[in-house]
Amino acid sequence: MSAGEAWERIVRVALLGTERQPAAEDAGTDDPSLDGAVAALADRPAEARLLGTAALLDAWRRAGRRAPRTAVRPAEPAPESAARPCSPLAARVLRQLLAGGPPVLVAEWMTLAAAAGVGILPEMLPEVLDFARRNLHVRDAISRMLGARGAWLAALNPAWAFAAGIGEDPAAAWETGTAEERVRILRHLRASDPAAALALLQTTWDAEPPAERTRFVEALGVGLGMDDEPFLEAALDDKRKEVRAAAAQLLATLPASRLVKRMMERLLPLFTRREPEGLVARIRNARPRFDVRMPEKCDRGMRRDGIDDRPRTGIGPRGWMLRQMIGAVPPSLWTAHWGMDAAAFLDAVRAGMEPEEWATLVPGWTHAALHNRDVEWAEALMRPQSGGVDGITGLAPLLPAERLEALALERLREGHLTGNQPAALLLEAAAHPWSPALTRAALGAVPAALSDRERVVLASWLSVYALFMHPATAVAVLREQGDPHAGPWVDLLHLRHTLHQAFE
Amino acid sequence: MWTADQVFAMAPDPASARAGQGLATPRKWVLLARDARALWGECQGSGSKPYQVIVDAAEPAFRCTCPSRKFPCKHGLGLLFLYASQPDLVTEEAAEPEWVAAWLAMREARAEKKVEKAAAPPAPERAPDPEAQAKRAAKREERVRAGLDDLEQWLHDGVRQGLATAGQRPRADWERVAARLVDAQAAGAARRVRELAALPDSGEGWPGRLLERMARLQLLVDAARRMDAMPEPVAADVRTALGWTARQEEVLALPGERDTWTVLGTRAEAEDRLRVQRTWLRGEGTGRTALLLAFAAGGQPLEPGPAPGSRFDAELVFYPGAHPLRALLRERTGAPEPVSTLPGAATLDDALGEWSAALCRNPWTERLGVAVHGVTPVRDGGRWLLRDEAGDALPLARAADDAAWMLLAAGGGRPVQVAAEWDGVELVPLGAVVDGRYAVLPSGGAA
Repeated sequence: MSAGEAWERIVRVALLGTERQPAAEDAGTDDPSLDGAVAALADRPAEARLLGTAALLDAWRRAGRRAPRTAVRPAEPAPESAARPCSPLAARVLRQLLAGGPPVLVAEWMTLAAAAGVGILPEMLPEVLDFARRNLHVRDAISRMLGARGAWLAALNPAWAFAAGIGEDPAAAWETGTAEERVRILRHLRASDPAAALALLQTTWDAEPPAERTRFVEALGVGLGMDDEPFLEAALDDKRKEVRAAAAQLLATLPASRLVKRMMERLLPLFTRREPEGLVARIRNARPRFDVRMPEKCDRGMRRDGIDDRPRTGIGPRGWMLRQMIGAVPPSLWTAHWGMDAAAFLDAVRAGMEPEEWATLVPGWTHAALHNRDVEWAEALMRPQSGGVDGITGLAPLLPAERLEALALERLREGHLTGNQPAALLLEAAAHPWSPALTRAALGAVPAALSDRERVVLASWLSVYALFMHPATAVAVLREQGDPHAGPWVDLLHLRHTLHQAFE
Repeated sequence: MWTADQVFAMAPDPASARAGQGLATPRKWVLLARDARALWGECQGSGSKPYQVIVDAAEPAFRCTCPSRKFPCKHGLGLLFLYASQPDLVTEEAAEPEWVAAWLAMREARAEKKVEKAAAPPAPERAPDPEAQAKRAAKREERVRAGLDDLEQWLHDGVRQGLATAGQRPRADWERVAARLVDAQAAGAARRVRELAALPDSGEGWPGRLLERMARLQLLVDAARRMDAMPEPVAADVRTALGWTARQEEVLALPGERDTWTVLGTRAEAEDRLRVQRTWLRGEGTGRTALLLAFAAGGQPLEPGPAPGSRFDAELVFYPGAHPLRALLRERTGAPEPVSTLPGAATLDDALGEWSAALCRNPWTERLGVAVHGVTPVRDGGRWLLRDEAGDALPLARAADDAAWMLLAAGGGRPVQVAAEWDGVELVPLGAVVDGRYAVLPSGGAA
């Protein structure tokens, strides 16, 4: 018998114990020298002979071990990557950020690397992919930098499927993929060929379970256009409420959709413009104002278009209905219909109602402005007379960076940051790389002497601002000031300074 | 000098590495300079006086005036990180400041003393009384003999009653046998007994694994009894396996081996209450493999060995044995430089050939550092394998999953050079060379 079989046999004997099978004598192996060595143990007691034989067989097998042939073939190699690897310094900074830096700085690293035309070191891709998996909000920023090597690697590990691209045959993958993969395929295809993606979705639509139908409709938000309108209009009759709501959301951003048309037909009769009357008004150059009626009841057509009369907040059902209806049409339609700009229209509506009523309706326009990414409306709604600071945080990101910076600079001139709520909120919304000027102004508005409470409030603001300040300017300004501050936000600025230098 | 990766590997823990990186900015340093012998700087800490930091250029030896108990401290690491990334910021100085020169002089003196002490015969007045020494040795041998008799009795009980029964013994039972061996000054044998205790719970095939280990212990008992009749190198291996390590001074007195040594990789593991760091070297001229060991007790940090992925001229001295692996670094004769290729085997079978050669001369060999060219990580079910170009494969350790993914990513699925530690069953990857660049791989058990 072979040494391997002899070993198996001796393990069986040892497992049961020599006392239970005294006659278990060795049958020899196919190697005379091994047998000779085993034979030399013959005069030992049974236990010593068993262990001695085992020692010989063990040494024999271990020393004779060969690497077995494997049937597993290596995966198809990655396409040669054209990206120049980043510098050791940049790699080191990335490693540090992955180990415990704020995720947005990892995203910033990616942006800087893209600008410098360099890539992630290949061996760091698994770490980066794991990071992207855990940090959803920076996943897209990271995914853009993974390159061909990253997509190749991600396709080999289901945990990284989000970064794996859509393969060569999306139609086949669409039929067999998991829900996650299919959403990814759909979004991917929508970005390049929305019509083909919709056609693909329609091939299986009737058989899709409701939960996935909702996600697929949401995915149509990528590359949305009037070509999708008939499909979405039909989806308003879906059995599932979530599917109907998702379809209504998308239709509300298509000015020419039937849903928007119906909604405007319901809305316009509720708004009556009153021109200023009388000599006094004309002399004072008084503006028009609107009389606004609340909708009476929620009929079946309105329900089909996604309106309900069960308010979740402490407002009446009719106000709630109107707010939803306002939110369901592109705000530009108001301005077009009345021939007024957004600010004038809003002022005229406000002039005709009680402040509580106004507060009920204004979130409708805010929702519509955000949803339609309407900059004019965002600015109009951000004015103090429209809603004060409440809308700023939500709407400000819609503004172009220069406009937002100009607004923030203006507000910063009004005083120190600690007592300047609007400036603070604008700065918080300015989530883009700040210009040196804004950086300098913001740091200049930090008072030298602070109460403990102010210090806490300011530190929490600054730890957000530090993510966007121009790092070289910030470090220079702090140095000019004699480095008066300490705390995580200062460290963050220095870390970002190092990060930026790594790509210089 | 060193790459950032290599400096990373020197850090006693991830927190220190991070802190060190935070210091790798010129803003934190009031002085940065170097010459051929050392790199030094003054780092502004929280105190009024900056900390003085020195790093020996020949090997990673650190000196810092900060009060940190970590070694190397973040300042030393920071200085190296900074130099690795922005060497231009560190100015070349003609003259060392006094504090730098003094430390280097002290280190030199200490190294010379070590060599002298090893070379010189023991001073007569300090020589121990030979009679007392013989008496002590005899007593020790007596105790070991008694301990091994105990061990053998216990092994025999195990196979008489059957491994199925032995496997159900409470852990305390194995621990008692191990403790008796520690008392008998056979710590090496004790460790092997402790390692047995986990095997009955190690899943399918455990009886075979348990029998292997028990058989090796029986072999050790048999060999220890016949030590007097063995050639000296073999007896030395038996002593080492029992846990009697030769004294460093004695080893340093032996002739050395000069070569250009490549650091294949390092791995740190917890062993009893110690942390053990194994650094595997390979000589380019001699083809010899060498193992440098470093130990740290309790929470103490390990002193970093030479950086993985570097090569340098040095003289090593091997501990005696039939197939010497463990060595001491006697003297570096050249500055370290990064490697662009690993000296190693062309196929996995060639690497196993090295393992066979080691086992044939010393059956208690537990691990071997190897480097193999042209290997690709492949997945077989849930298990990673390393496959060579001949199509043969060996399994990677389960704890090395992260390293396997890194290898795959680094090579893009194309064959790479891998340095790994082989324990007879699986490989633990330590590093890889891809496109002429060495990358450190996380070895799982390093924590």
